[in-house]
Amino acid sequence: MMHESFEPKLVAFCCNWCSYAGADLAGTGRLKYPENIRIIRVPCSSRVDASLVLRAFQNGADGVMIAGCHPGDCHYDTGNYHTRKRMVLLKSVLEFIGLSSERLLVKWISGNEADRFQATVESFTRELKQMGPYEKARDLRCAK
Amino acid sequence: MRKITEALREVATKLLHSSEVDLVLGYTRGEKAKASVPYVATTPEEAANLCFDNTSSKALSKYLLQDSFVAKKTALVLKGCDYRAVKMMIDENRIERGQLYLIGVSCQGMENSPFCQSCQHKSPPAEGVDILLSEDDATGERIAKSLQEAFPEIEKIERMSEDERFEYWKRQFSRCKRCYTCRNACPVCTCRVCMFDRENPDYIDAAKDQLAQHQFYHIIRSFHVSDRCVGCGQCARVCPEGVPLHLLHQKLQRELHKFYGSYKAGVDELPNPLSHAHKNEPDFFGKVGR
Amino acid sequence: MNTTIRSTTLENLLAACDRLANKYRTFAPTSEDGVTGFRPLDQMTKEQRQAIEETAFANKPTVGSIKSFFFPDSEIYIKFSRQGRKVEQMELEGMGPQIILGAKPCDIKSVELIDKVFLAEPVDSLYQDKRQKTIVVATVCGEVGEGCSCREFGISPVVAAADLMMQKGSGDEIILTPETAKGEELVKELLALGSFAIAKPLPLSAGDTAVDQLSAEEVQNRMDELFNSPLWDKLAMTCLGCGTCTYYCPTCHCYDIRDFNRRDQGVRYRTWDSCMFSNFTNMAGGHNPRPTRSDRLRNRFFHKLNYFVKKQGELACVGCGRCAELCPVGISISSVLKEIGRDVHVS
Repeated sequence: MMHESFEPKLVAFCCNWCSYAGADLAGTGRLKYPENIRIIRVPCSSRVDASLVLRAFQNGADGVMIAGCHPGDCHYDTGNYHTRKRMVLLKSVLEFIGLSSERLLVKWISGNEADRFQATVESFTRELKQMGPYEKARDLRCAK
Repeated sequence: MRKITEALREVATKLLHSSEVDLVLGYTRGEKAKASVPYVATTPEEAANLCFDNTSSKALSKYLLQDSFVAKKTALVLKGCDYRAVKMMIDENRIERGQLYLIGVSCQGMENSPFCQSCQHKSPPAEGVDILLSEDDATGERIAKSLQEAFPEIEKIERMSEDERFEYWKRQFSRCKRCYTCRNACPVCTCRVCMFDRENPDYIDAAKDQLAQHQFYHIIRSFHVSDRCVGCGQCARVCPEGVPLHLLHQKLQRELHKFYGSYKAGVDELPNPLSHAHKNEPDFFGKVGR
Repeated sequence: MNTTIRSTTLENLLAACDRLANKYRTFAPTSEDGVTGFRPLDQMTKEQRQAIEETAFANKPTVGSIKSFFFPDSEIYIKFSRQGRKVEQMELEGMGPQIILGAKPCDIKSVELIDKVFLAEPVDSLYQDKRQKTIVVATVCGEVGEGCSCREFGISPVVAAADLMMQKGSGDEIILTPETAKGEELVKELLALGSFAIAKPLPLSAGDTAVDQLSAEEVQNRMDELFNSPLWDKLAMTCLGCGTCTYYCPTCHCYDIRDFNRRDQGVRYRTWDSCMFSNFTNMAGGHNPRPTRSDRLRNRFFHKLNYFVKKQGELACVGCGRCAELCPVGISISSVLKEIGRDVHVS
């Protein structure tokens, strides 16, 4: 289902040390990626828990991405081990409740992988455009 | 459960008479003829009102964290599931073993309780309690189904399409009024200040007609309970709108089991799966991301 | 002049309500996943529609009471938006007329009790608007239900002061008798549809033998004596402090007012609150005048059996039995009435 004029809102939680640096590098290297993304910098991907993801969906995000360091490279040693443990459960719960778990993407992107960052945002945006706007978890009040 | 009731009254009377304990926390006949309700006996005369049967489903361990029970020596009647919750409280340093006298009962399962069919821990271990009461005719012991066989409703939901699943839970959650009874009755929901009670700022919006807020509450609570769930079934039983919350919590338990191996809260030792993470655990997001 | 009419079946009446759907939204009692409550007719499944007859004529109220028709669990009453420094209030869509098809005498009485609070000066316009736009059709219970104690509170299970009374006639017939001008108006509209006939009103059954009605003054006085009783500490030991009793009690009416904003838009709404919650009386600065569960329990029962009597002259309980049925630990109004020597029949 293609929504021609639909521009999905993508919220990306990027960890400061790896993926945010990667996004930065994409910027300085003039790699273009879709403007649909809103980046929120966090100290570590494990800062993101289920409530942040659900809030993002509630407030209008069509897709949420969590980008962290590759396992083994976490700046805080074990942070991303918690991330993956938590997020795989969140995906199962979202799926069980019928809430499109494909709209939650977890990706490991290191500080020098600017191209990977660009490719991820592009493909995720493309997928979200196909999936359409996300109403199921949205708080319907004050909808613009 | 006549034998257990008689033995229980005897033990309680003795404990209160000798002042070995300040209170005995158990069950008694409620006003509704068919159900037994929680009861606190403070004198040997009141001990005669105690009983135990297959309607004594409430998780008594929850009360131990309340003001009225702090700094008192309490004897409590523990089914298997309840014992697991108490063990967790002790392991987590919320209560002292020394302030408790544990009267274990070998439970045969509660009527109408969704969890009892798969319960593998009906009785507390004898070495964990101060005394263990049981009926003579243990032939009534129900055959416990395995974790995977119990709750065929979960498989039924998993087989639905995404839209059907959404409609199912939407119908259930639309009846939710956020009375917080599920959280208050749950023996493993033990935070001193629950995040949903926080003010300035509020963690959750107070509106009760927004599905998104109900989803938020139930999903987050299921996360916080996940690896701690002792399978008492109270959440579904106390819900006035009949929302099958046990399916949600049990689904999370199954997922944990699938990915991280079996862990039984209150039986296995700490730490529980979600409180630690290692590099050798499976990585689901690998090269491709998911 | 009371024009009683007859419908061949309940389904015939429901079909008539469907035809009037552009004027009235009809709600009827039914069962969903084993829980009884009111649902809009236009959103019911076939099974739910078929369950209406049994639920409406059972001698037991539905789990969800009718207070939510006048006092909904969440209600937006101001909508605002901001442009730069200017804040503008936006128009809110009002509610259209609605019909409640099958309210019990206890629930109807409970609305009269809440009226004393919301319709006294200064009038709560949100409540008043809904009250004026709602037509209540009562069904009576016949004999007292299991777990009900309406008669102890002066409510008859065979009579109800509503806009219309709905009774079962011979066979599958439904008899509708208007009791107010609003009811008369609806009857005229139903007759105009052509599927109803004029009928003779049905006599009301005599009901069970009378019981001793509780005297509001006596209960109030006995409660005054109980203010410092150890009863409250005792009940507080097993109370879970949840919101079940307050949300399902048809006379409980406490609410909270909150805002929900998103950048340049916001709404102000009121929503049910419960005096049993620990932060109900939290004040700025951190003070809480009811810090213990015992304080809160005592306050709730005093409101029902003492404060409401002092302020409004009546006991604020209708004996519907929902607290006894739904409380997870078996505390109910009879736990207190027992203490003052008036045990009400609960099961």
